[in-house]
Amino acid sequence: MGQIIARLANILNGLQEKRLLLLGLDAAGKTSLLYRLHLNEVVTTIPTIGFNVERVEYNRMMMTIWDIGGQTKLRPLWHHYFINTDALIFVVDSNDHERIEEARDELFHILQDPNMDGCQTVLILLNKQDLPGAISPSAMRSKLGLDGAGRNPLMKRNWYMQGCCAVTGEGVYDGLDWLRGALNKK
Amino acid sequence: MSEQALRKRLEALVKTGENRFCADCGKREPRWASVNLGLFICLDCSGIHRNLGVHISFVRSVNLDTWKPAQVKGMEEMGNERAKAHFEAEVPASYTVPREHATVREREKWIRDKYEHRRFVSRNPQPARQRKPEESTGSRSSRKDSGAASSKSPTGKTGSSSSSRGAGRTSSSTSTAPSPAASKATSSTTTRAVPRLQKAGTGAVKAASTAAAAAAAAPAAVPAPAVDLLDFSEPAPPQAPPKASPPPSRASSAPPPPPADQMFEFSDFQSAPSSSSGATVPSAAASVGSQQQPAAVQQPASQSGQQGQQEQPAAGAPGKASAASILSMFNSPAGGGVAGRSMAGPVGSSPVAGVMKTPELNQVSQMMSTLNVGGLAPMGSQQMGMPESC
Repeated sequence: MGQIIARLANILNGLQEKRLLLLGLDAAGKTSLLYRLHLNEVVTTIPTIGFNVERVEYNRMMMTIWDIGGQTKLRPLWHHYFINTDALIFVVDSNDHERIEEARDELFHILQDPNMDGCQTVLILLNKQDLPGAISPSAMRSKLGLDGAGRNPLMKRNWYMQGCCAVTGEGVYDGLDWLRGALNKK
Repeated sequence: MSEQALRKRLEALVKTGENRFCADCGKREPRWASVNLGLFICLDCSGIHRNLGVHISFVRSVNLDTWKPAQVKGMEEMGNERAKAHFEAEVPASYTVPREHATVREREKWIRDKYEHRRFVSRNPQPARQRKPEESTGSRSSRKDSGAASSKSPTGKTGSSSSSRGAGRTSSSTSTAPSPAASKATSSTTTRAVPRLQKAGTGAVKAASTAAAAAAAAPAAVPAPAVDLLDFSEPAPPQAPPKASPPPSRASSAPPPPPADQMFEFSDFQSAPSSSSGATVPSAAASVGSQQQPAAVQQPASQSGQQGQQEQPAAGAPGKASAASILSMFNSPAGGGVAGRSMAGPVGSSPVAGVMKTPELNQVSQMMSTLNVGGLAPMGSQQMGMPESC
């Protein structure tokens, strides 16, 4: 009951309700990002088995962020969360050189799902930019195969790539600012 | 090899010897593994391993991830016993090694010291050379050795010199500690280290006595070059050619498969002097270390009842408030069914109950259970206590 009232209050206050999906390979930093946004601090996470969900208010936008475990065997469960998603935040571990292609394949796979047709906003967060071996956002663009003329499911969508670090918080809010603007435009 | 066969091998592996206990905290039945370090760890420790970055520890779940044949082979070659002998070769007696119910902070210090800073890796090439044959026999005979005992064995043989140096070493090794770049440097010197290692192997007299053990281990080792263990390191491929010799001759001339990690170690020796000479304030670093320890000791006393729910005491007033609200969210339905909480708990108790409908939820939880994931529910329930360090 309290929740209903709170939601009504949000609507009256002009708060937008958005449903965001936070996906990415295991250990990309999804849960750390979620709690960076929610608590604005660094939490020591454990691998997510199942999901975490938090409501985060940012700049008059109320986001319900679903963070779903990224282990190989959990990825087939992602599609259960696709419906009614307003925006996808896809997290990539910039330090994991070996699995960039795997990350790209997963991203494309998500976006090809018919249930994601309604999701036209994609924010790609290149996490762990603080680590010495991290791939820069510019290099990542080509590594993810997003710079060429090749056909990819991102082409039809409004997407943005942002380097960030969930531990320091750097870049995270820049990404959110873009996301907010993109969702408002729609 | 089919995935099921790999899974079987992995499941068998995690039930043997030291692998039955978390390599870091000793918890029973670890279900996670650090593939490049070659050890099995529990859920809580895996979280900290993941924080190190994949260049130090690449974490996989035994049952929630798919494994490559090379990765399983690497695990078979290393395993907790060998890994412990390597990474805990010189743990100072004064160091409090965290156990199963240690706080996140204690764990993190231990794990970072052990794998990131490599504080306890033997810095003395001598024991490292002799250890390899011993390890292979040790892994066969002394299964029930606890972590401490097995970690002592390699240094014990080399005389008191190395163990007495242990205390002094803490300061020198902490000076190398704040250098994540050092690990970079070591990986670049890995190729140089290979010939050395082999020389060391032929020089070891004990190799002959354990030739049988080596022969047993060698066939498995041959098709798996060091790449498997490291998985990501670029300089690894050049190591393969020297190892390509047929197994029997290798067994007689060289001790058991030099796991990639030991390559690391050897290159470590080479790079250690430069990095330690580069450090300017070893004494300051040491004093920091000594300050941290009492703090770590105090924690369990004050928070023992909470079982690591709130590890990091204070993080500012606003943080505290939100942390409390979060915890109350998770903890309020305490006493509820553990399995139920793992999936339905967070939704039911969080303010977004309406977002996901229950049939959908049930479907997901059914999917989860059909994954034949042993121990999923308890893990999941731990999951919900996740914002531990709020």
